[in-house]
Amino acid sequence: MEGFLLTGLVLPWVTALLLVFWPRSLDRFSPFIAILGAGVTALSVSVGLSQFHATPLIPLAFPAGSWALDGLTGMFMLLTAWVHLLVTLFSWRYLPHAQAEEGSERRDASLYALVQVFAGSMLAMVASGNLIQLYLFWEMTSITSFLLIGYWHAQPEAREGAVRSLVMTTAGAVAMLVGFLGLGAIAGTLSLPELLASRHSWQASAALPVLTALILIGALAKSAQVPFSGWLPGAMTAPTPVSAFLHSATLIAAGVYLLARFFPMLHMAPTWSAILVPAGVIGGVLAGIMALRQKEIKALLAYSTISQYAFIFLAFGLGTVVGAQAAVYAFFVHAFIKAGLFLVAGAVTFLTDEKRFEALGGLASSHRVLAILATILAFSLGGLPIFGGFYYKEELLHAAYEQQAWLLLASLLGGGMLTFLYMLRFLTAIFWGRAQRGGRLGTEAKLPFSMLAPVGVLAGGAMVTGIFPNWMNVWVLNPAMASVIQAPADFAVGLEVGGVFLLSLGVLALGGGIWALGTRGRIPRGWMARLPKRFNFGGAAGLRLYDALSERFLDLHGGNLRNYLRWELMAILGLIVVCWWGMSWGPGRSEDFDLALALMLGVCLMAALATIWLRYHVLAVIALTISGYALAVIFALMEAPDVALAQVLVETLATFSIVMALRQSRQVHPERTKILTAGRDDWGRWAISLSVGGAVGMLAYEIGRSQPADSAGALYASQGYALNGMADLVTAILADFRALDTAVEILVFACAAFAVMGLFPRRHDE
Amino acid sequence: MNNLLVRFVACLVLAITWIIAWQEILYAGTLPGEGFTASVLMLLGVILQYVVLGYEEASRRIPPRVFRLGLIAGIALLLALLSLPMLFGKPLLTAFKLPLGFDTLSSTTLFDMAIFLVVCGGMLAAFTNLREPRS
Repeated sequence: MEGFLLTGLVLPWVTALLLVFWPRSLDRFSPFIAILGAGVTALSVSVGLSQFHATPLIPLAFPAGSWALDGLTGMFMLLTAWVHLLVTLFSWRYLPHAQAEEGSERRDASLYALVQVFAGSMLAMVASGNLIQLYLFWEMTSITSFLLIGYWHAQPEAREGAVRSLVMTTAGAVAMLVGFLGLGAIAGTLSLPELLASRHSWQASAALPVLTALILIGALAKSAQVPFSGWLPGAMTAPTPVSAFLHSATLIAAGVYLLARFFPMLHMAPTWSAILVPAGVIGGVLAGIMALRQKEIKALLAYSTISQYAFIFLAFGLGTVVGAQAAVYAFFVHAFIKAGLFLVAGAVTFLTDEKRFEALGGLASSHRVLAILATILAFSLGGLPIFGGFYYKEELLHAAYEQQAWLLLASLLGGGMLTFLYMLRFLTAIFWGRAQRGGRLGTEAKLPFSMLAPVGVLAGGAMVTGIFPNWMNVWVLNPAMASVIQAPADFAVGLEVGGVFLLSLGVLALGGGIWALGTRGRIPRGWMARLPKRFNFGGAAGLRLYDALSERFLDLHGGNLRNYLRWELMAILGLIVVCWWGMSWGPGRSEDFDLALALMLGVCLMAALATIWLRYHVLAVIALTISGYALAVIFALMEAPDVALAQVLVETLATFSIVMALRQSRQVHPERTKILTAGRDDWGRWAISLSVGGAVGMLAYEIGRSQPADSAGALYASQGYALNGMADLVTAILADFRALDTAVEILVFACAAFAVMGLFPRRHDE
Repeated sequence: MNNLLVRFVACLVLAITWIIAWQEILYAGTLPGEGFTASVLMLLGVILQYVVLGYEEASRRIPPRVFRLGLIAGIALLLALLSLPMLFGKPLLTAFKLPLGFDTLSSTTLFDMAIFLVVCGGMLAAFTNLREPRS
C-alpha cells in the first residue's frame, strides 16, 4: 500500500517534469499527459489511503524525507488529488479558448506543469512528518500559486495580484516558521508524531501563547483571513480552473490544515480563541457583505470563500470538540461545493466571454443542465435543506449554540443569510431573465462534456451530501476528526439546533425569493454604494508600508560610492562589535621572529599608511599596489603559493582597472587630480574610519595572537586522512568536514549572481 | 590595447589558468588548492581576456552564455550531490567513490567542480551582465 502512496507523492512531479520538456509542436497532447498524471495520482492516493484509518500519525518509511500519515492527511490528500483531476479535465477544453481570449502565447503545457507541481507540493505538505519539511512545501505552494495567479503576466492586474499574494502569504509563513522553531525549542523535537505524543509535557510552557499567535498568523495569511484577506480578490486573475483548484481544496485550505493539525497541541492556549474568534466573526460577516457588492462572478466567489473560511476558522477557534468536528465537516463539504461553483463560473465565461453580472442573463433557457447543476451548487452553499451545505451550516450553528455564544450564533446566522442572498444573486443574474446578446460563442454554443462532467460530479456530491449527510463519515471524516481531537470520533450529523435554523431559513427563502424576482438579483444602488469597493482589512496599508520600505532600500543604491562605503563599513563595525561580545579568546601563543616576514609586513604597513598622506590618486593606487604585492610575498613565505598567485593576479587587475577608471574620469573631469579628503571638521567620517580601522586591526591582532583552546582543527589534522583519505586539509574541511557550509555558501553566492543579473537585465540584442 | 605581445600574454595566461584550475580540482585532495582557488584563478584569466581584448572580441571568443550555463550546471550538480545520498537512505552530502577505477576521484571532486562552476560562472555571468545595464 505504501507503494501506491509513494506513487501519489512522486507522480505529480514526474508529470510536471515531462510537461516542462514536452515539445512545443505536440502541445495539443499535453492535456492528456496532465489528465493521465492527475488520474493515476488520484487513484494511487485513494488505494494507498484505504488502509490508513488509524488515529496516531504513522511515520512512513520512505527512503527520503520525513513522512507521516493519519486520517487528517488522508482527507486532504483525497480532496487535493480528486479536485486536481476534475480541474485538469475541465481545463482541457477551457484553456485553449481562454488563452485565445487573453491574447496569450503561453503554452498550455506550462500551466499544466505548474498545476502538477502545485498539487505535488500540496500532497507532500499534508504528508510531511516534520515541521521544517512542512514549511518547505508550504512555501512551495506559495511560489507555485504566485506563478499561477500571474500566469497571464502580460496583464498588470495579474502581476499585481500575484505579487500581493506572494508578499502576504510568505510574510505570514515567516511568522509561522518562527513559531515552528519556538515549538521545536520548547518541545525538543520538530517531528510531528513526536510533538503530538509529547504534547502534555510542553503545553504548560509560558512561551506557548506567543508561539500559537505566530503559527496562527501563518494560517490566517494563507487562508486570506482578516486581517490578511486583501490578496484573495486580486488572485482571481488566475485562469478559472486554477482558481477552482487553489481556492477550494488546496492553497487556502493549507491554513485549515495547519489549524486542524495543531488543534490538539495549541487549542488551550489563550491566544488561540482570542485570535480566531474575532477574525472569524469580522471576516465572515464583512466578506459576506462584500460578496453582495461585487460586479464580477469570480470576485463574488472570492469574497464568499473568505466568508465561509472565516466561519470554519471561527469553529476551530471555539476550541471545543464539537467546534473542531463542525469545522472539519464544513471544510470538506465547502471544498467541493466551491470548486463546483468556480467551474460553473468558468463554464459561463467560456460560453459568453463575460465575467460581469450586468452583461449576463437568461442562460437557463439555452443551457438547462448547467443551470440545474449551478442551482444545486448555489443552494448547497446557501444552505437550503436537502442541499449539501445545509448540514454544515447546521453543524457550525450547533458548535456556537453548545457554547451558549449568542453573539457568535447571531453572526453565523447573519453570515448564512448573506450567503443565501449572494448565491441567489449569482443564480438570478446569470441564469434568469432575458438572454443577453454578445460573446464570441453566444448562447447557442454547446458546453463540451469534458467541462460539464466535472461540474456534474461536484454538484452530484453536493446533492448526495444533502440527502445522506453521513455518507463520507466512515471512510474519510471520522478518521480525520479523530486525528484533530485525538480521540476516537463517532461523528454523525443531526439536527441539534434545527428548529431555529429551519425557521430563519424559511423566512429568508421567502424574502429572498421575492427580492430576487423583483430586482433580478441587482443590488439597490443607494445603500450598498456607500460601502468601499474592497476591504483590505489593513492589507493595503501593509503593502504600502512594504513599498515605502523597498523605496528606502532602493535609495541606498543611489550610485554614491561614499554612501555604499559608509554602510558597508558600519556593517563591518557592527559585526565585529557583536562578535566581540560572544568571543572568548584562547591562550596567547608566541612565534619565532622571522626577519623576512617582518620586513614584508613593514613594507605592507608603510605603503598602507602612505595612502593617507598621498594627495594624488595615482600615487595612492601605486602605494596600495605595493602593499598588495608585499602581502603576496608574505603568502609565498608562508608556503601558500596558490593564494600568493591569486593575490598577485587580483592586485594586478585591481590596479589596472583603477588606473583605467582614473583615466576615464580625467577625461570628464580634468580638474580632479587630487583626492578629495575629508575636512578636519567632518567628524562623522573621521569617526567611522578610525573606529572601523581600529576594530579590524584589533580583531586581526587578536586572531593572530591567540589560539582557540579546543579547536576542531586538531581533530581534523590528526584524523583527517584516516576519515576521508585527503591529504590536503583545506580541501578536506571545505569539501567534506564542513561540506554543508560550503554548499550553502555557494548557493548564497549563486543567489547573489542571479540578483545582479536581475537588477541589471541584459539588452535583448545581445 | 591592441598590442600583439599583450594579447599573446593574455591568451597564454588564460591557457595556464585553465590548466592550473583543472589541476587544482583534480588534485584537490592531495595538493593545496581546491574549487574556490581554481575558480578565482580561472576568473582572473577570463577577466584578463576582457580587459585586453575588449568586450566585443572577448565575448565573441567566449560567449557570455557559457557562464550562465556554467552557473546553472553548477547549481544542478550541487543539488544532485546534496540529494543523491538521501535517495539511498544516507545523510545529506555523504561522500562516495566514483566507480572509475581511480582512488583519488570521489564525489568530493564533483563537489569541487560544482564550487568551481557556481563561483566562476556566477561571477562572470554577473560581470558580463553589468556591462550594459538597461537605462
